[in-house]
Amino acid sequence: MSFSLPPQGPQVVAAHLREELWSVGRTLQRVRYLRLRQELTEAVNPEINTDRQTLVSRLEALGFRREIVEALQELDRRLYEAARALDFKGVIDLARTIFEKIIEDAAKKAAQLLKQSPPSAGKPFQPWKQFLIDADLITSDEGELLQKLYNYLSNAGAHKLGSAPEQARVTKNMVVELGLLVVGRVQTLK
Amino acid sequence: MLSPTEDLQQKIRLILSQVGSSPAIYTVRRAPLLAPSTGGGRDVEPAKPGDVEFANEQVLLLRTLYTQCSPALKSEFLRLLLVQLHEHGAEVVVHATLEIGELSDLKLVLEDPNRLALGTRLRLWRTIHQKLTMESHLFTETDLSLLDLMRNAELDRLPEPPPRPRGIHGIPRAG
Repeated sequence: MSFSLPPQGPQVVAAHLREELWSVGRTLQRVRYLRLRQELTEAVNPEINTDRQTLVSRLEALGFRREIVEALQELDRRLYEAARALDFKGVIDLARTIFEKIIEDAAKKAAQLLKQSPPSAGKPFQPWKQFLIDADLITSDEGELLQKLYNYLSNAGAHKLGSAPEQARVTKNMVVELGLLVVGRVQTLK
Repeated sequence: MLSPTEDLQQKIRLILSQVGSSPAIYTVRRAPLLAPSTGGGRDVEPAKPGDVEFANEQVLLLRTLYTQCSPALKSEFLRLLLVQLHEHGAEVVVHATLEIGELSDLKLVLEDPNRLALGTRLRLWRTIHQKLTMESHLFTETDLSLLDLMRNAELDRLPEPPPRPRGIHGIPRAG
C-alpha cells in the first residue's frame, strides 16, 4: 500500500488530513467492534469454564503443585490475548506443560494414597501415565488417549514455529477435560 | 573521530537515505476487503494476523540497529530518529518508531504545532492508519484510546475549513 501526496496548497492538504483523521476514527471503531465480536462469539464456552473451575478445586483439594493452578490461569490469559501464530504456539506449549504436570502429580498422589512407590523421575509423562494404568486408575484405552493428546500437543506446539487459533482452543479444552478425568479418578482413592 | 551518538546519527541518516518516495511496507498474503459502510467513507477492513507480512528493509534495519545499541545509545535512539521525521521517508520513521518505541512518542511530536509541516503530518497519520489497518492486533485497548485522543487533538489543531462557496440562489455549490 503506497500513497503519494497531492501537490496542492495547505488548504487542500489540511482537507486531506481532516479526511484521513475521520477515516482513522472509523477504523478505530471497526477494530473495537471486531474484537468485541470475537470475544462474544469465540471465547465463551460455559461448560469448559465450569469444568476448568472444577479441575482447579480438585487440584487444590488433592494438594497438587500450586504452579499448575497458576499455569491454568495463565493459559486462559494467553489464549485471550493471542494474536500471532507464535502466540498460539505459546498457548499449546503451556498446555503441554500443564498436562505433563497434572499427570505427574496425579501419579504421585495415587502412589501416596495406595502406599506404593512412584516411578522414578526420568522421562516426562510416559512413566507417570503408565503408573496410572498399572494402578487401575485409568484403562489402557484411556492411557492411549492421554498419550495421543500429549503427542498432539508436542507436534502442534513444541516443534513448530506457529500454531492456529483453533488448535490452541481445542488443546486447552482437551487438557482441562482429560485432566479432570484423571484427577477425578485419583480423588476416588481418598 | 565521531562520538557514539554522532556515529549512530550518521547510520540512521544513511539508512533513511535509501527510502524511496513511496516505500512498500507490507507484503499482502490475502487481498484486503472493504469494511462495511457505516455512513462515512469506505475503508479497508482491518487485516487478520497472518494476512500481511511486514517487509520494509529500512524499518527492519533500523530495528536491528537499535537492538545492537548499548543501553546508553538506546535511550537516545528515538530522539535521533524522530529528528529525521520529514515528508520524505515519514512512513519509515513512523513505522520504526512504533516498532522500537510507543504511540506516545509520536503523540509528543504531534503536540508541537511548529515541529512538523502539514504534509509531514498527513504522511504520519496515513502511516499510523496503515499500521492500525494492517496490524491492529499490535494495538492494546490503551493504545486505541490514546489514538482517539491524538486524533481529536489533531482535528482541533486543524484550521476551520473555509465556507463552501454559494451559488446564485444561496445554495452551496457541489464539490
